Amino acid sequence: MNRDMEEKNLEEAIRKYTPVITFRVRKALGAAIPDCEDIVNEIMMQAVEKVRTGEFRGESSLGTFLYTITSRRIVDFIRNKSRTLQHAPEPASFPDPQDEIEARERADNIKRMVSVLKPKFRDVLYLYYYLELPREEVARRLGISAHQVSERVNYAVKLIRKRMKP
Amino acid sequence: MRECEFKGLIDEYLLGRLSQEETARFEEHYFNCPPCFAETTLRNEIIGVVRQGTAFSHEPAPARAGKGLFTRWAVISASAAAVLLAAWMLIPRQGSVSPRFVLNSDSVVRGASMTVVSPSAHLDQAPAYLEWQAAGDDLDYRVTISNGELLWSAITRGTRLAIPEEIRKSLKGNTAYSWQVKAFDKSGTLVSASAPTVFQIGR
Repeated sequence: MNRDMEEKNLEEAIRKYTPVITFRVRKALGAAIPDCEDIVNEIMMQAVEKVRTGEFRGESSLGTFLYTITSRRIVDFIRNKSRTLQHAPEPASFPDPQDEIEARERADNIKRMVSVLKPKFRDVLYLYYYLELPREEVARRLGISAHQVSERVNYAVKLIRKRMKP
Repeated sequence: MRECEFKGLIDEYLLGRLSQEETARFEEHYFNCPPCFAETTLRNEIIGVVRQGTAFSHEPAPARAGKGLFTRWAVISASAAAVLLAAWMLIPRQGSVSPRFVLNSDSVVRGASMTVVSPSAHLDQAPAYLEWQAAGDDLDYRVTISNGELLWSAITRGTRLAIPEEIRKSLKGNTAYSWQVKAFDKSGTLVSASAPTVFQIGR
């Protein structure tokens, strides 16, 4: 496979990481920060740049490579070193109303599914996710083992995941 | 599908309970593991919805509603929720994330044990401060007050912490309370802890 093909494949592979990078950036900086999308784009451009200069050739894990760039960019942003974007940003994109509608629908679906869970599953979510009690505390209050708490949480999540499939 | 060994850490990660080192390792992992990433984003979504609190209304479940289902939930919410909510509200919040340094039962206490200064044993009135000796340089200290259940916790860089007024007022006479302080270094690793110290107000 010649060099150009490799690069192209890598660049395509990098774009597939958009959701992971977005998630990491939002979690670190807060989803409400307007720069999130720009930062994610910068990270991808940096990664593509490193592929083009041969700094990264795909010899090690692509995920780890992108994780490292992402983490550094986040640290820089927080430390205020690079608050101004290094590359000219694309014209500001507004949140896609369709995305928002879909997100809203998903949230409503989840809420409904949680509210109709059997009490033994809903209770663990209430104590563990809503009140954020430690697992042992949840176990104590429900009179079950910590392991059973995890099992119930996992089962509740599994039910929700199954019901959300189109 | 074989389950990934990191799957058990997802909740702790999302609830902010992993140490900095564990967090970094977990974050690098989900960059490399699509199933774990999918599960993490799903649980993140669920937690987001759950935190709004409106999924726990007291309407009886449709169709399946039987007396047992609703009654049990009403019992849980009436008794436990009031207590839980009260205890929960007494814990100082830092943003919407729990303090990072909560340990689970698998953690092992290492290092030297810490010496507490006050309070200890019997007191005439509710203590105004918790005080302890420094366990090293550049440490964060997490203090907790419990009486079987966690009543209050806080984090500080100093070696002395004032107990908030509403907590002091809630401490009752002739009741055993215990408090404990744990020291963490910059990476969130526990370096030292005091034995839980019991105190009691009044005779």
